[in-house]
Amino acid sequence: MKILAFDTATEACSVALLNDDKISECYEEIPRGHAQHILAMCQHVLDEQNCQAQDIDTIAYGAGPGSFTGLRIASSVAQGFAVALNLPVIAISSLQALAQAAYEQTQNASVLAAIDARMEEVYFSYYEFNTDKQCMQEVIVDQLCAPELAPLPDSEAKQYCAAGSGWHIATLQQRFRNCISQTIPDCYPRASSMLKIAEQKYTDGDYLTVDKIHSMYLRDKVTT
Amino acid sequence: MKRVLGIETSCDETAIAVYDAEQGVLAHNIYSQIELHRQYGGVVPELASRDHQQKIVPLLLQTLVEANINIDDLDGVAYTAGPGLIGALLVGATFARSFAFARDLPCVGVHHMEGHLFAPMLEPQPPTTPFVALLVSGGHTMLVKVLEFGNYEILGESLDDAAGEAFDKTARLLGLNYPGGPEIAHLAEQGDATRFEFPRPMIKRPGFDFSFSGLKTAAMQAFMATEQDQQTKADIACAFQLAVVDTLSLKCQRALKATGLSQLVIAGGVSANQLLRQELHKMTKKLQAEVFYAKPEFCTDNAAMIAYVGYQRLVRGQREPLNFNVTARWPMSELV
Repeated sequence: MKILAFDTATEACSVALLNDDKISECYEEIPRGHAQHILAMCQHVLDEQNCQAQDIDTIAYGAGPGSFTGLRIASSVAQGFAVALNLPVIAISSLQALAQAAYEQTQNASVLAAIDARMEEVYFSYYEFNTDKQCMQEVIVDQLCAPELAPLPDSEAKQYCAAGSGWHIATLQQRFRNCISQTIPDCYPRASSMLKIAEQKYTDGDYLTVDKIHSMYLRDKVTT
Repeated sequence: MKRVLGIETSCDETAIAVYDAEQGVLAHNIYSQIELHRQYGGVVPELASRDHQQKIVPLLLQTLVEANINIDDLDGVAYTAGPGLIGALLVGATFARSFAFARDLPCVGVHHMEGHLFAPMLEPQPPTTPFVALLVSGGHTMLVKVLEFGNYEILGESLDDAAGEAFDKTARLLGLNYPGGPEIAHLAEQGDATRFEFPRPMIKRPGFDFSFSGLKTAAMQAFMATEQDQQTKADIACAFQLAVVDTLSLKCQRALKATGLSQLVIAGGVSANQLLRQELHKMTKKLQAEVFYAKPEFCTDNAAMIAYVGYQRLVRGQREPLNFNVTARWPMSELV
């Protein structure tokens, strides 16, 4: 099984290749210019595993939420590969990818994922490790909200890992101060973390045909 | 190198085409977003980018079916790399580059205006180089001496508004819809050409530069001084169009004489203007020269012209590294 995964939803730009049980990854944090790097990164991970684009079985892309331009870069790459090679495509939430990266870094099975959405809002969700699926699964739906309105957990018994750029915002930290055991605001979604999710989604038949590739912007009001 | 896929997403039209070296354009499609943007009175870049992304795949698949070819039959890919809206360009460029990468095909970024410049090459009786070209659109008014493909000398250009922009602004003044060119031309048919006389900007100065900002102001001042009824609007439209066409024709004549060339190519959205075509026919006939232009659907933004220029560049061996980029502002002079 060969899966090519990539994400450009945030400052991080990354590509990873799963080649049966071997993983190669390119990961860089760059403010912009993701489009300039992404295909060279794809080439690099393919070369490292002596693979060619034609060998890939499926692709997984970071579908959002995140930077609008970044989301379009990832979904345009996904469309290009999917049309060219007639591949099924797996759309992965950037918040799920972020939660998975946070889990792999901290082993904390409960993650509050938040990405700064600018304009005093955050992209926000809860994720929990699922032992059957062996990856993080959403507890609530990904949403766009003001930090002071982000939904609190039902009980304060559980302690969460707070991951993502949204946790640089003081209002959000303050609101969740009683249920956070650990904060990693510099954690980003990354392609290698998406591979586990992609494998599980592929097994579940949760993939798209090329005409269904889209970005999950969450913010749809773009005119005044 | 035989068949090239062309992709154009520089502004508010998603366009896909396949050009074949022997058979010409096999198929092409243009999806216009005009309706999407009309309620905002202009193009909203974020909405344009989102819409390009939704349309590009179905449009490509449809074009391949109409061309009666498979993906395997493509030998190269070309896309518009600028100038244009950065987000819109990025959608087409990223898709094109990724598609080409996955299929291991050569891929080039094309200058949008170079595409327009060569659109008349897609006609049954195309011009041959060298020729003089008038590029005239909403963003450009420019006279170019084309010695051969890839070898251009810019003779002159607009110092302020492009001709198409002057059409759009005057149309807005008269309460007409966007884009203004066809609307003004239509209204001018009912106009009295003798009621108003507008200046022909910069015709007394030597050289090949243009200026349309003053003409637009003259039309506005004339309009404001009247009762602004329907007949006045038509008369203004008529006099305005005549002044633009006269000015363009005079500069083209000057360029043909100065270069000693006998072929004039007109390209870009305004080249679809019927009065301009008629006047240039008359003018070139007197000089024993010829005028060439594209069919109406290739005067405005399209992917056939991008595929054609892409083919010309690829067949000359042009190749680009994987770290592609798009350019919002890209002066034609940088191509020369």
